[in-house]
Amino acid sequence: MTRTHLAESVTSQRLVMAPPFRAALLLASIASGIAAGFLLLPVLFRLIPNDLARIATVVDAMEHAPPPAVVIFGDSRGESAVDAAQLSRSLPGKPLAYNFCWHGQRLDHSFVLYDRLPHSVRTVINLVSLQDFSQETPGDLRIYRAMRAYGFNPDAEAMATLETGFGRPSIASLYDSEARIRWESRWGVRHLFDTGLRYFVRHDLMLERERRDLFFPTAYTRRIESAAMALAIENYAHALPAPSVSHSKTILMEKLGAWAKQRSCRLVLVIPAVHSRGVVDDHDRRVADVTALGRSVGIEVVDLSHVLPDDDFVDLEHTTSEGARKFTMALAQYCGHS
Amino acid sequence: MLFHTPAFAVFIVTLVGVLLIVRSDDLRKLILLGASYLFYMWWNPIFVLPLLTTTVIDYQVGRMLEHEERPRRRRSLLVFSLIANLGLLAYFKYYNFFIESVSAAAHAAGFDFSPVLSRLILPVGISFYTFHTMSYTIDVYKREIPVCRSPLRFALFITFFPVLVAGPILRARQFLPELERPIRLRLTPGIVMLIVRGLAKKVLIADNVGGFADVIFKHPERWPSVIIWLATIAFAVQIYCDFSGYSDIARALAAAFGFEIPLNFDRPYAAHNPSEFWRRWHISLSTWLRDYLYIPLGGNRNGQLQTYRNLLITMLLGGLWHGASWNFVLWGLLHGTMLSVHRFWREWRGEAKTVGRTAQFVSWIALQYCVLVTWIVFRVTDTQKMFIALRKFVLFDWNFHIFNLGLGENSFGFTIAVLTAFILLHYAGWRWGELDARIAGAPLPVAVFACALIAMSFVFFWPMAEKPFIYFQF
Repeated sequence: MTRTHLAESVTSQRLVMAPPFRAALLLASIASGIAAGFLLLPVLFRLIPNDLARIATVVDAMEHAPPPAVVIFGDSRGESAVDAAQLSRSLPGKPLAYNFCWHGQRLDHSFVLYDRLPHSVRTVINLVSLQDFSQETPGDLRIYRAMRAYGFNPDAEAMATLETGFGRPSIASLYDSEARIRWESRWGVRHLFDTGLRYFVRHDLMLERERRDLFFPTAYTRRIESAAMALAIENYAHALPAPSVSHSKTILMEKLGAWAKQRSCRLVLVIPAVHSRGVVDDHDRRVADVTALGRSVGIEVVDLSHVLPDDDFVDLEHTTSEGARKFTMALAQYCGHS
Repeated sequence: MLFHTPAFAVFIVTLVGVLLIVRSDDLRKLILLGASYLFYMWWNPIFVLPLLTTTVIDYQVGRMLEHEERPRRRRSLLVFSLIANLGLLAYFKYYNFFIESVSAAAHAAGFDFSPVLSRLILPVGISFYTFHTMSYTIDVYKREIPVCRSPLRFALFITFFPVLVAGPILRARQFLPELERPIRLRLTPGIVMLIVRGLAKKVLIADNVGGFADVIFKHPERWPSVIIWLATIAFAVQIYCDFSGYSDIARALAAAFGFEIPLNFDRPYAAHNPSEFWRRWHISLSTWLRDYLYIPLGGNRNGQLQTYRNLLITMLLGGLWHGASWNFVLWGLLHGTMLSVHRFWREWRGEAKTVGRTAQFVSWIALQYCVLVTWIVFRVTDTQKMFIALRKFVLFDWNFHIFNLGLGENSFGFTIAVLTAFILLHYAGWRWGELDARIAGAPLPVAVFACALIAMSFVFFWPMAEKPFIYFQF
């Protein structure tokens, strides 16, 4: 008889012989384990490092950090390319600037933060890729859930705008119950393994800096190997959807223009630097379309996609430290002189 | 209604509650039958029509066979039943595949042939219950089992909800005698732990590694060989845990009603050769094919060449049973070839009395390699992508640039962690006995603590997206 058959016969015997109260006790312990796990989820979500942990830092800084005059929004490209401290030093009057970029942040994610910015903010720089402008759908919904898990609940007005732009079904998770938000935060627990692996394969990973640094939260500094770069170039999607600015992003830009006017705030949308092999098809036309729309709604649009040579990138989209220094310089020159 | 959804929890609790109130066994079985139909109609009420048709036809054919002594007439009744069952299966499952294949062949030959395709959706589990009923009619025809005179018991044999949509494939000779006995509701630690084991296999392992395999096999051309290997292993683990997890839950539920149903998996990845693999993998299907197809074809009774032919036909049809697609046909053919080659090898070398550890290890590695290759054929339905994946799997490119994966998004690290946990638990189960049985029999505080820990891991690692059982599509 194999071990499996032994095990099966053991199971069969238990089916017949074991008293029911023991089974009921096991069921009760299962129920209590589920309850305990559910209670622990938010604690673990805050403790375990993950790609979105920076959201907690940003949300906290918006309320408790010394009030800034300049903030920068954007995704990981913004994290790696903008040194807010250098920007601050380069601008007239050396205004306090914070880098509020985080991994995977899209225009719709940053949009919900605008109304909560401290009144000290006079300039908002938002890095938005041409891919993001053309996307009709909202950004990663996990980010909205993470925002809520970290204690940030978007305003009703911002949610209404998102609903108009994307449609209620696309942003249904914004209306999730607290229990649902807690349940979805289990994503953070499984992320522990991915983070661990990244530490193992990417020795240059500085996750704690990415999580905490309000000025230059770059996560990686080492250039990827040429074979990996070749693969990245091969798989890069150069073709984008037809309209340069999707309907939903048009609505967001109109709202942002109105916000900037109401707050008497300068709003600059920046197309971030990109490796020459990562330039999308119809780049110039798309930039022209975005610029024209920006002008019509009172937003400055600046294309800084070509300011860096290829040597200043660690991969197709993220800059080296030297690249960040040059990009920040270019950004400061634009903001300081225009 | 999936076993791991809140809807099923409500369903089972309600059903057990009602059965506890009712005392009459016939009424209990009638309620169980009604609940089974409700369970099945949850997907789509219209699905019940082919199920009812099959049930009525085979019940009636069985009754007629009971009174019929004339061989020709008996054979006609059997043929009628087979045509009805296989006809339903062919129409729902294979019609479009056949028409598309003919159309493609006609186009290739220069003819313009664009027939209308069926828009009917495949009823869930039709391949399973068709095989249930066919086993009954064939056995009755061969006078190997008595005719079932009770329409209630017969309908329950076909429709019993734990096995209805994804097996194990029940044989009339196994399960009809079970239904003679009264329903005895039981809740024991063994049942609880078998359900937990099945759920853990499905939810914690299969669904969590399946997402990774989905991402990689969507575009195999984008990934280096090491990732294709990992995705293939992930799929091998996914399909095993998905299907055997379902079978575990089905066995536990049947036991909770007082019925015993057969084991469907017996550590297939511990097998050392193709025959052993098929004695351990989807046992209810492989034994069904052996008894109702391979042996009637002649089995191994008519010389070597006939045996190889029978093996190839049996496995090809076994492959086609899984789905109406050429990749399943190819998968079946590959397994038929493996079985034939293994048989040839055994006949050529003779049956070894003792096998050394090294030889065992080599044969295990060789078999697992071949099985993994066949899983690529099974998983990747797009022919071009299948060959790309096969090329990268077989011709290893030694490219280890895995940090370019977009790691977090694909849950690469989590997948590796789950696969490692699976291998460790699988080994521990083989070495020291099944974990669920050990917990069920452990001292009470240990069992309670272990259950709470497992439940917590369900909360933490429940997959982010719900996935149906893979074998539902078959």
